[in-house]
Amino acid sequence: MDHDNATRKDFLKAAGAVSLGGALLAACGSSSSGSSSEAPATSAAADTAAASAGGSTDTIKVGLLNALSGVLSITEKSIYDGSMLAIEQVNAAGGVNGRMLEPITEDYASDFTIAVQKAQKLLTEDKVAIVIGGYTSASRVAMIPTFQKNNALFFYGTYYEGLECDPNTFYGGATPNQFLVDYVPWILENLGKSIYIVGSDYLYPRTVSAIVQKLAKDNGGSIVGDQYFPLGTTDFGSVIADIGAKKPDVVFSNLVGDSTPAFYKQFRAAGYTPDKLPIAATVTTEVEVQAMGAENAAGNYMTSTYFQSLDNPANTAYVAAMKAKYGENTVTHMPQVGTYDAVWLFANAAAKIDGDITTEALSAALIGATYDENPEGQPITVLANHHCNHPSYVGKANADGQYDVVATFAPTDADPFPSVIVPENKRPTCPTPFKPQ
Amino acid sequence: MQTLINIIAQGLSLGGVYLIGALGLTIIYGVMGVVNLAHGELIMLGSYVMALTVSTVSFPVAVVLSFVLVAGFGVVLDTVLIRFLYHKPVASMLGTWGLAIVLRQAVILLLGPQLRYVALPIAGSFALGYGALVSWWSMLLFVVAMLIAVAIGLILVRTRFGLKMRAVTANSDAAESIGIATRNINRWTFALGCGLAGVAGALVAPLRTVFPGMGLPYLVGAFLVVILAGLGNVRSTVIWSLLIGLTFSAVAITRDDITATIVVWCAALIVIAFRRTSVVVSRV
Amino acid sequence: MLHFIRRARTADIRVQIAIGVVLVAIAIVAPLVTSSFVIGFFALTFPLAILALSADMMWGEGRLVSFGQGLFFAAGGYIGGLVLIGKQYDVSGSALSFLSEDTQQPLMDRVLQQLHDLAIAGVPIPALILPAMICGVVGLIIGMIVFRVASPEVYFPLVTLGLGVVGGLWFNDLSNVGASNGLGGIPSFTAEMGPQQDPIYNYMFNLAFVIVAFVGWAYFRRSRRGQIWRGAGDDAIRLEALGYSVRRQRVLAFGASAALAAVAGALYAGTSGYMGPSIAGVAFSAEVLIWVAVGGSGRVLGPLIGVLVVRWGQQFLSSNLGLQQSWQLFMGLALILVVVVAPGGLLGIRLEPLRQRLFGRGETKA
Repeated sequence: MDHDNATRKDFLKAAGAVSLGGALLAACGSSSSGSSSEAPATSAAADTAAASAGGSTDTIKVGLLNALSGVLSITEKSIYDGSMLAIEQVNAAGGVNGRMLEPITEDYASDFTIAVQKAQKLLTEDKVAIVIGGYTSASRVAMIPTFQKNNALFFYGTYYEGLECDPNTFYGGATPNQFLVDYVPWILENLGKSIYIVGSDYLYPRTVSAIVQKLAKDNGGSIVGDQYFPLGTTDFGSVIADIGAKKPDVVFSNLVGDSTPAFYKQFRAAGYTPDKLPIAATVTTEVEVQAMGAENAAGNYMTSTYFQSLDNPANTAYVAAMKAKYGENTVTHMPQVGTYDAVWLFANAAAKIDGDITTEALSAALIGATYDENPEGQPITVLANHHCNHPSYVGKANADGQYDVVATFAPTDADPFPSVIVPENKRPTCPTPFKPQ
Repeated sequence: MQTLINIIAQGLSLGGVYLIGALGLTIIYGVMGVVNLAHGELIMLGSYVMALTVSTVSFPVAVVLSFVLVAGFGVVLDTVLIRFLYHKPVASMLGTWGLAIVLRQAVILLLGPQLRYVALPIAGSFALGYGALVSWWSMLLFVVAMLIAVAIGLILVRTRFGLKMRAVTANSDAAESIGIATRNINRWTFALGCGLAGVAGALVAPLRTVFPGMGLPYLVGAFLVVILAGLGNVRSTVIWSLLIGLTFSAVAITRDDITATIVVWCAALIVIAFRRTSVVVSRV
Repeated sequence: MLHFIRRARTADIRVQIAIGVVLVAIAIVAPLVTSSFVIGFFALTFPLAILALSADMMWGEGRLVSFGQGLFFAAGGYIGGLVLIGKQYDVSGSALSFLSEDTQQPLMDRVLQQLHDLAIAGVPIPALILPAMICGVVGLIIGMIVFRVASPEVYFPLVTLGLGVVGGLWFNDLSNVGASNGLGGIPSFTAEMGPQQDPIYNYMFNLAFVIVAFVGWAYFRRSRRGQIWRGAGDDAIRLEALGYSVRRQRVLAFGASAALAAVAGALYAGTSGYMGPSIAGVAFSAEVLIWVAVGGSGRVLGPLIGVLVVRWGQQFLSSNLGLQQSWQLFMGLALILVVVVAPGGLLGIRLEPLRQRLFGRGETKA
């Protein structure tokens, strides 16, 4: 390794280093995706002052930040598909006051260190008007600080566990109080009184479980088990054995992702059929049903603000449009619809703004924004607490891999801190009013 | 009593899954000194072969296809990449990790990221007494895993190929000098390891979910076995796979899965802390 | 300093010093000519370079591959994050805390408050010291258990793999740090220095740490203790014969690398505002190793070059070239290529064949 007179090699290496540095600098100097070179900024504050977002006068840039590769892409890719369809439709309908939406797609590869970078890129370099995307709550929490620092808005379209009220974020998906509050009493009345809860090990299932436990006890039910499984678990022999021992009336499933089909299959294989022991779930969407095979899902229950089988004109059009764009086997599901709605809500809100789409203006315009063709079956409106109203249903899986609606609940306003589980002394003011940094 | 039977039944089945995963890893290391971090992805490929062919051919044929196709792919991999990594543990770890990334992404790009479905050929369960139930398929997994282990053992001890494998494992230079074509042994052993992974994938597909990222848990589980059993030792691999499966089930059934994972790993670390020898054991 | 340079007899070291100086110059000048995105990008990337260095501390010299650096990084991020938050936010800000009537965590609050206030020039120093101390001690303890084995080259990586798995699970359930959502809203170390939209403060702060870390490491390697540590990796038996305890070297090194990874984590948490349990896992630790491998393990600047090339490469491939779904494929191929063609990483690319053809020299040592 010691060469004393490797002068040529020395020179080549140093030259390489300098040119690497030069190349880096050159690459840094020019910017990406269409917009022209950044002017040198002596103070970056000039870049990110609460100034206008969006591209040239012809288009409005919308950032779409999703995990298109990696573990999360299983579901998040289809969420992205929904938002792209919405953008197409908005543009086909004439854009926002004549300006077309220009989507800037970024993939954070299921890695949150990359999510933070990409969010920063969308906000500081592309200067998008809003970022729509994310899927897991962790992805949202990871990205929020970047939005706060850069004075920007994030529209999160997936249902989640509530317990959050961030001023820079709008929530297009349902909170537990919008379906659980009716679902649990329905289960106790129709399926049985003793419940065994299984869930994936993260915040959403744990929160849902806490809510279910309280609701069950308040309504005369009992909980005989509450088990969590790390994401990616596909072996459920032990818990199925325990279910056999504890003999509940119904299994309440908050399993997510690839755990869900594995559990349903193994449960069925162990001899449990829905007429003997039904599963009532909160996250077994049409995507998971397709993966487990209709016969393993049939007869089990699910609550949702949306089912692919919903029979209303908006949904019929939506499903047809998704299939036309992405193929006959395309499955539509709740978080995808939430994100699709988010794009439309943004478009409708932006249309009400005269002049530049600043963060303050957009934030104000979004409150009260509605979209009438919501596939969920009723117009969706953004409330003052940055969440949306949603209907909710109970579905029973049929032999075609779709859900038949067996119960419809009256729509409730979203409350991320529902009094049924959050003690009075802990309820923060929500919405926290928007404050520019 | 019911709990005990459940623990044993689930434990053996789980152990079988660990075993299938660990066997491929351990043989490949034993013979050619490669730590194959793409093992989980090879299992994934086997599952995909099953998912894509089972609707057109019968199940057993699909299993054979999984073996043949993934083993064949293993030959290609060996020619293109693996042979540069023989006997270099660190380089092989990184190189096969890169391979794992490539395989995962290639499948996502070519076949899409969505979850895939494979029907259960033998549905239903049977009672083990005292109210304990176990599904036919998970018992089958255990039986097949044991058969594979026995088959490997027999190959190693009773066949000429196995003899050559053991020679190369013991000392590849010496083996070369007495006329054994180590090049071929390495290649076919790697193919065998891949084929086994393929079969594992095909067999777990009906009870689990087939998707591009399904491989990592199998890799982690296989590593756990290998830490305890030593690399290259089939008998030890079998024993430890079952032990781990049983321990995990015992804790999981009586408490929960997360505690079980932590307990199993901590126990493994403690066991090793009290062993003063290195983990690399190359005897069969 | 000059003494150090004069002692750098090998061409390799001279070249690395040259590269190092060039890079520092670029780093200092760059903010004047590049966009705030680039500044922010590198502000986030600098702590990752320090993390990569911590991995190479074990690997480059000691020949021990650690899959656990992500765990210490995350732990450091959490501890640092809590101290940084100590003053401005409700400490038990995790979602689950809303579910219980408890409002009091007075001891924790007060301790964190005190720690937060121990600031020098507005920078909460304990947010850097505490992670280093805690993770350093944990590293020492783990090292003492793990290095009982005589030849841990294969065993050590597997054990750190297990640590990553268990650690990830544990952080995922720890509600004090946000459980599975992670700890968000962490204010920056440089919060008192200027408006936080401007990434320049974090950039300069982290750059200072990068320079200190890498120069310090270069110095250490040439020092007596550093030589002993390299001996532990190159030829443990001979080192033992000389009377040194190889085991002690390894334990100390692991403790140091854990502490450094923790500091990197704290810096990262302050810069990005977030730390989550997925970062503690095995997948991220493996990425760290990829950075080191690409740059060249065993060389001072290897981890730095690796991080810069890989992270910038990722960014470039996915955003600029629009290869949103296939860029990971290219990263995997690049890793394979590096391992097979350039096992010494980018810094190890040797121009031997070229040189031999030109000068016709004899065999040289690898």
